[in-house]
Amino acid sequence: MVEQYSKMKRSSIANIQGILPILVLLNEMVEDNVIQDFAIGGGFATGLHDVPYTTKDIDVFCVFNIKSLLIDLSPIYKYLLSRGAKWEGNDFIVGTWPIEFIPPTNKLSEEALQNAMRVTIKDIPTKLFTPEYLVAIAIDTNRPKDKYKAIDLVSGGKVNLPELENILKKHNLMSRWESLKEREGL
Amino acid sequence: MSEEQIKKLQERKAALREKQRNLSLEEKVQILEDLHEHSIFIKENPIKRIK
Repeated sequence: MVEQYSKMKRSSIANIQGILPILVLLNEMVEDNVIQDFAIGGGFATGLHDVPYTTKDIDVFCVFNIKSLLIDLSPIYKYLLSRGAKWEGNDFIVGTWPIEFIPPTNKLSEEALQNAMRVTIKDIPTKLFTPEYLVAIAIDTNRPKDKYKAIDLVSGGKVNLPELENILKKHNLMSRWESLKEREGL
Repeated sequence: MSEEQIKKLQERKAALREKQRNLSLEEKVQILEDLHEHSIFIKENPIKRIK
């Protein structure tokens, strides 16, 4: 399997099929110094930890090469477009998958990136936000769809609750968590 | 549908979710790909209203 995907390395991504070549691409972006590091969060990561469900895109949280206070995304644009990705709305389209490259927007997402778990999927290494950080971020963003994700992850038994509460306390999110627990009977 | 039938459906749903929860990463990736392809198909082939 590794051999199959090594043939895809550094080639055009215009017509790739599926998720696995995207994971190879993300590793290549690190190897080529386009980004320093990445981890997959959002609904995609939630589906991999819990029950897979339809997600509209893949959220890739990245550590960018920051030269100033402003995050320069142009190296990513140039790199992906030169390899055959398309740009639509807020997302790059790689194969059939929209991918949103997201810089950490606060301390919580920075920490989530730093503490991302390493996994391999068909011998391809990648990183996912842990269930605890996915729940914490869902509580932080506080949108209804994110709260459902948090509820599903917790109900599914995939979350280390003491670890989650440590994260929530650190980021002043305990009151929201207590309200959610009471409302949903968690 | 009786309460008993509803309860059985809910139990089956919970059992299926538990089964999916414990699939391997590779199997979950396959499901995510299948769901994604299906959503593209639905988008490109909208269901027409029956008048």
